[in-house]
Amino acid sequence: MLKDLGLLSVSLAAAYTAWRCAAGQRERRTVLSALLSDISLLKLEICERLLPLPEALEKLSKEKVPCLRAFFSACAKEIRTCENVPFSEIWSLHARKELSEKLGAEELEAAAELGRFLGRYEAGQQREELEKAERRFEGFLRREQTQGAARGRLKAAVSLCAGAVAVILML
Amino acid sequence: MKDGKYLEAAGILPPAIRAAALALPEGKTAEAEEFRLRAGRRPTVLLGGKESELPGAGSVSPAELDFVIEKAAGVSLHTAAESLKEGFVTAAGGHRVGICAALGASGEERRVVCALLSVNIRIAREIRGVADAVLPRLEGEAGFCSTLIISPPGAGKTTLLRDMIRGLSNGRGCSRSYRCAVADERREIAAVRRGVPQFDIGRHTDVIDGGCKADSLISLIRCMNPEIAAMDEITRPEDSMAAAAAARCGVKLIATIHAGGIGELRERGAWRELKRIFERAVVISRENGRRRYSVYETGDSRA
Repeated sequence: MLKDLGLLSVSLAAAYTAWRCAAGQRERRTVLSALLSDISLLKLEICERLLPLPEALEKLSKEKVPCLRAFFSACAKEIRTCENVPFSEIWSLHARKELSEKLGAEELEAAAELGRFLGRYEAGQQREELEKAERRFEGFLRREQTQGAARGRLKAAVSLCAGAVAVILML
Repeated sequence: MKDGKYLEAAGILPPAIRAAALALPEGKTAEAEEFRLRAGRRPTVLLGGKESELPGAGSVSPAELDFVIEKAAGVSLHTAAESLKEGFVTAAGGHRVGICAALGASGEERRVVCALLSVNIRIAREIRGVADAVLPRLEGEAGFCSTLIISPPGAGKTTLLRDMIRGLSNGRGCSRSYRCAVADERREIAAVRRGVPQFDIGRHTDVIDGGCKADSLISLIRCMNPEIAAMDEITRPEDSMAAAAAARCGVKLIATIHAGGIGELRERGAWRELKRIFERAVVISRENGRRRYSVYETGDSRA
């Protein structure tokens, strides 16, 4: 009885790990894709509609992806209340706090850097920087869709195999 | 207790300089006109027309100048592109932040791409009631008379102009309220920021913010049917021509001009034309540190 329970636990753990790997990859893709859309929206609001940054951030704080919603909400709140810190520091701080678990180091750095340009230049210069950021995140997303998916499948397969080996050894 | 406008303007300063500004004694803060920040030098405050270093503040860093502009523009410099081309940003509260920067060329337009070199925060103070002593003398039997405000820079022309518009619009200090229109090219009269005037310019006043004042004046007369139209600083011939055109339409005018007095305008050869447009002139002078407002009838030989 105990042995059967052990086999079941190992099988479930392996399956759960495989599922988590696949879900993690999916989540990363979702966050990257949503962030790319948010950058495009920022570009539209700032460079075309000339919307003040605090109002553009308010709009983005209605984002559906939880970590991005938390990030933009924190930025939207502090841009209005913080008197002593430049906005670039607020943006960078919250990017690292809210997105570090969902993005890779390079992606996180690119996201944190974006705050250095927002609201501090004329629309044309901000457009250039936002377009650069768009291109970078498009690259990250493409890489995630190809390499990341393969890596995810590999991790899932390794988890399942490890589980299967453990089960065989326990039989 | 320090006045609200001083505290508001000090709020734009970087933390270390703000602390030094807030430590100034109350008597000095009341007469403070501007904060001046220059990269690599200690910040100063303009007190009664003289610059004094802010005690306790260190040299201004380029990052601190960036901070000022960021705060003044509400982290939205793209919304202030037009005024930025003129070299200033209007902060919340109507404080005007003048900018000196290394400019880079981009196509046909010049724009700020390099370092900021210095900024000047002009504390926007509304002096309500400053026009009370003047307004009753500017009305004749047929109502308000077109008026030219004359003074050297920094003597309070715009402050008087704004209070006159507010008074005429609200019917304070005059026989009735008038429909007023303002061509605010330099954004100093109403100081519109994101669609909202930062100064009270009266209940019956319409504003065209930015744009060429000569064109704005004609648009206002065509579209808004004002009884009184106001504009700041007649500087170019087209400004005088627009004022003359407005006067021919039966609209009364209020405008300002830089000069030490009527005599100086006469020497410049501008007085003859201005006399035809304006029926009254208010000359602002300083006596013992206090402003004095003298009203003249332009047709009067003593004027």
